[in-house]
Amino acid sequence: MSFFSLRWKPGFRRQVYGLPITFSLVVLSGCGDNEYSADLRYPARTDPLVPRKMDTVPPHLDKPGDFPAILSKLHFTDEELNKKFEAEKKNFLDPTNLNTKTRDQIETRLEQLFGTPFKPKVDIQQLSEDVRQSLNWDENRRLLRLDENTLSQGSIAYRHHCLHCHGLPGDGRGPTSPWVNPHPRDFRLGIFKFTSTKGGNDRKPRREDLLRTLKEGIESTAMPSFALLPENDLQAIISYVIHLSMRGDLETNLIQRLLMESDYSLKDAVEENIGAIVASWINAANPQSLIVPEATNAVFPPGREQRQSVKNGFDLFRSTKDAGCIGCHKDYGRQSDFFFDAWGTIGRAADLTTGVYRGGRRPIDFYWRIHQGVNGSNMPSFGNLLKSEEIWDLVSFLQVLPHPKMREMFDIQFD
Amino acid sequence: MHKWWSLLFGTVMTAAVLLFVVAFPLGWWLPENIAIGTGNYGKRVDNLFYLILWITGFFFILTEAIMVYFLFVYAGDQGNLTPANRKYGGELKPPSLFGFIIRPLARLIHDQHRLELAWSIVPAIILIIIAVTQISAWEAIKYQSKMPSPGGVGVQQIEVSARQFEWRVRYPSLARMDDWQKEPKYAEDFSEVAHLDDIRLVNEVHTWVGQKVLVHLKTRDVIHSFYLPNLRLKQDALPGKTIRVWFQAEKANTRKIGDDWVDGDGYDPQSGKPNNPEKVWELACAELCGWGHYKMIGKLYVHETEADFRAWMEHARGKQYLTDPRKTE
Repeated sequence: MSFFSLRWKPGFRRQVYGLPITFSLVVLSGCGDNEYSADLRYPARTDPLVPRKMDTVPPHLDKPGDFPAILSKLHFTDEELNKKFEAEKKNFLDPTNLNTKTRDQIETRLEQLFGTPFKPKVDIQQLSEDVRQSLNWDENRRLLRLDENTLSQGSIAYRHHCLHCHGLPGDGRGPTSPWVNPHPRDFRLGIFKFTSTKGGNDRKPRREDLLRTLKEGIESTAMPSFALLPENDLQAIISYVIHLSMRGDLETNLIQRLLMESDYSLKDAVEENIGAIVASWINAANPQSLIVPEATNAVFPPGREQRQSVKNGFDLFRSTKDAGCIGCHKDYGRQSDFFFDAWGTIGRAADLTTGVYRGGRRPIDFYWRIHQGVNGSNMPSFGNLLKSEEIWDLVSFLQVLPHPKMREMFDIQFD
Repeated sequence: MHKWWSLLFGTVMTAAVLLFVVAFPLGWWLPENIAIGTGNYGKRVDNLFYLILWITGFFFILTEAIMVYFLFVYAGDQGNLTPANRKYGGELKPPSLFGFIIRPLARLIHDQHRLELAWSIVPAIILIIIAVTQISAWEAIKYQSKMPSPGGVGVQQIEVSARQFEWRVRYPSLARMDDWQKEPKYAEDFSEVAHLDDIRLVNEVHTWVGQKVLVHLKTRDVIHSFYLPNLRLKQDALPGKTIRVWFQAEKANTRKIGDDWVDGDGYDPQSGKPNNPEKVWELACAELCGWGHYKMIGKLYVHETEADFRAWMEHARGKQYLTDPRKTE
C-alpha cells in the first residue's frame, strides 16, 4: 500500500502525526541556553522572616514535602508544645504586609544594586561617597572577586549545579528542597555555619571555607562534592553565592526595618545596611580574621602519648561547668534534642559517635567549631571560655570517641 | 509498500556499519585498557567483547542484507504482483539472480519446520559457546575465591562508599598497611571497622602500577554502580551489602606537578582542561541513582611506583590532620 493511497480512517491521524510530533518534541526539548533568560528577575520575598531563633523544642523533624511551608504544616501532638509554637509564630514578619509600592521600591533598588540573574553585579559605585570610602572599595573589590565577568560565569554554573536545591535567589527553596533534610542552605540571612573567621553572629566565611564545602561536600546531607568542576568554575560559584548572600541579606534587613518602623526612608536603610554587609565580607577576607590556634603539642591522630590529653577532653566534655558539651550532645550526641535554628528549620546537636562531621573532620575544623560555635545553630562559641590547649584536648577526645577499640585503649568508658 | 522502504532500511544499515568501521581510527572506541597483564581480566573481557561483536556483527549484516534485498524485490503495489514474481505465475520465488545459491540450499531445507529448527538450533549452539567461553573471565572478576584476600601479601584494601552523588573513599594509613604485611590477620576487619588513622577522600581512588587492589564496595543510600571503564570493571553497590571487587592497574597516569599529584599530565589553569585527556581515568556511576547520576564521577589515580604512592599518602595525611590553617589548605 502506498502512503498516499491509504484511506483516512478514524484514529489514523493519531498514528500518522504521532511519529513526527514525538520526533520533533524529542529533538527540540533537549537544547537549552546556558544562561538565565534576560528578562528573568529575582522574585520578591514572600516567605516569613524569622527575627530570632524559636525556643520551642520540636520533638521530631518535619516530614518530607512540608518544607518550605514548615511553619504552617508543622503540628505537634503535645497541646502545650503546640500552643508555645503558635505563640512564637506570631513573632514572624510577613513581607506581604508591606504595601505593594514599598515592595516594588525594594525590588527596584535591589535590581539597581545587584542586577538580575542573567546579569548579576555588585554595584557599590552607585552608593554615596561615604559608604565607598568606609569600605575602601577601590582596593577591596578585588578581594571579593565580585566583578561582572566572574559573576556571569558563576550565574551559569549556579544555574546548572546549584539552582534546583538552593533556589533562584539563593533561598534554599528550590524544587528539590522539600525532599532533602537537612534543607539546602538559605543564603539570604548571610549566616554560614562553617566559618574559620573571628567575630560574632554577623561573621562571614572566607572564600576558602566555601571552597572546602564545595570540594568535599557535606557528609550526611544532600550537598555533594563538586571537586571535579574546573577550579575557575568553583571560584565563580563562590563569588555568585557571596553576591546572592549580600543581596538576600540586604533584602531581609530592608524588609525587617520597614516592617518594624513604618516611616523609615528606603534610601537611608539601604546605605546603612549595605555598608555593614559588604564590610563583614571584606573583613572575613582579611587574613587577620582567620582564627589561627596557638602552637600546640597535640598530635593527630592521638596515640598513646596523648592519653592525658584525651582524658582531659573526656572530662571537659562531661563537665557541668566549663565546656559541658554533654548538656546538649546528650549521650555523646546519640540522644540530642531537636531545636529550631536561625533559618526556622529543625536541627539537633551532632551525634559525635558516628564519625561523620558536617563541618569537616580535620583537627583544625573541630577547633574552629568549638572556638567559634556553629553560626545559626545552637552551638555556642567556647573560644573565650576555654584555653587553646583545652580545646585541643577536646579535639583529641572527639577524634577517639567514634572508635570503640580506641576508647578501650584510652580507657574511656561509658554505656 | 514502496521500494523506497528498502532504501531507508538499507541506508540506515549501511550508515551503522560505516560508523562502526570509522569509529576505531577516529578514536571513538573502547577506552584505554590498563588491566592487561596475564593474571588480569582486562584482556579477557576485551577478547570476549570482540568475539561477541564479530558473531553478532556477522549475523546482523547477513539478516539486514537479506531483509533489505527482500524489501526491494518484493515491494509491491496494492497487493499486486511485482514484475519479478509475476513471471513465476504468482508464486513467490526468488528471481534467478540468486537462484544458483538459494536453490541448492532450499533442497536441504525444503520445509518450514526444518528451516525453523535450523535457525533455532544454530544460534542456540552459538550462544552456548559464548556462555561457556565467558565462564573463566567471570570467575576471575567476580568469584571471591579468586580475589586477592584481605590478608594477602601485597594487597591494598580500600573502602568505597557510594553516596548521592559522590564516592567516599577510605584508605588505611601507611602505618596500618605496614602492620598488615607483618600480621595479615589484622587486615580482615578493615571493611567493617573504621580506624582512627584512616585517610578519607572524596572521588579519588589512588593506587600504584601493578598493585592488586581489593575494594569493599558499599552504598549509603540507593543502588549505585562502581564502574572503572579503563579496568573493565563494573559492580553494582547494593544498600545493606558490602561487596568485594578487585582490580590491578598496569599503567600509570599520575605524577607530582608542583605541590600536588595530578592526572592527565596536569590541568590548564585557564580552561580547566587536562593537558592529556587520555590520561584522565574516570570512576563513573553506572546505575541511575537520582538527578545527579550523570555527574557522579570520580577519578582513578595510578601512581608510577609504590614510593610515589606513599609520598602522596603522607601529603594527604598531612592535609587530613591539619592543625595550622596557614599551611596548605
